[in-house]
Amino acid sequence: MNSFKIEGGTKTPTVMLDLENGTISLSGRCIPENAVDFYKPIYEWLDEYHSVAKENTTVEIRLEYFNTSSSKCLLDVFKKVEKLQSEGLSAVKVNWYYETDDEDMLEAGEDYDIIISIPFNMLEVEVI
Amino acid sequence: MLYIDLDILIDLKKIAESMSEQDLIFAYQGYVNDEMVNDILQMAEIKLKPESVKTSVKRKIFRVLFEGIQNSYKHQNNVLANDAEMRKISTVLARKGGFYELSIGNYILNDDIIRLKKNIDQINGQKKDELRENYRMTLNNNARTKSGGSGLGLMDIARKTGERLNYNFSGVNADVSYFTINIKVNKNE
Repeated sequence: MNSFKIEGGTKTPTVMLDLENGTISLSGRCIPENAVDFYKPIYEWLDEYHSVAKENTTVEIRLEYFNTSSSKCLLDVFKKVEKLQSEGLSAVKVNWYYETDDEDMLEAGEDYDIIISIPFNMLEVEVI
Repeated sequence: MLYIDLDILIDLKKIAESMSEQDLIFAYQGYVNDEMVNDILQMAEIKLKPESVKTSVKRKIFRVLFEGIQNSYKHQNNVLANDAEMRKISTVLARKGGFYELSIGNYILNDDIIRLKKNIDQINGQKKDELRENYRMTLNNNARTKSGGSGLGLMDIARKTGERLNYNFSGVNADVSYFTINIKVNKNE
């Protein structure tokens, strides 16, 4: 198994799945037409990572915006890493970045935080 | 092939034309696919640039416009896909008092009206916290709608704007109606 990267586009985020450091990072805009197709390789990587998980896993979400059809896909990413934690395979945390005046993205992060039982750090930044 | 009364389709265009230039920001009518959503968003970005409101308000308009358009053409793709005329949507963005008002119109099968009406009425009847709770429940529910959507689009728009969603169904024929939704964004958010 290797690290994996998807270059970002106008509608899709840059995705870095770093095996070495146990870091899963999504940044940019996530508004693809077919979110399920876009997330498929990410799920596959996470399923493989399950058997080789690092002691610590960090999920970095630096999304400027994502559409509602991506929101369920993003939840599935969190559910997969939540499983790592519940099965004692890795200590997982999520760093959720949002811009200072972007209440919508803060609330979106809080929604996931309520649903998912891994720690979410809400990190306010000037520019995403 | 279903018979269509084209007068219904141009309703929004008439609204747009009846507005003074001061009120109308932009209007679009036609077929939409994913690439065109980008074009419409770019147009919106250009037209909103000179508006003297906070960036966060522009961002909100942008997001609800995106969700609204994607919502409208995703639904109709499913049911009216074989008729090019019926795949046309209309969008008007205008200033109205202390608000921006976004109207999006598309054809809908009459069979879907009750379900959609019930959905919007339920959203409109919920307080902020209830809506958020309901959103989270739908998000956490694995089901997708029959058109492959998340079932979150309209809830998301209502949450982001904090305003009631006004709507109208205008009968076209025995099978089809024209659905228009009006979304308000407060200028002083």
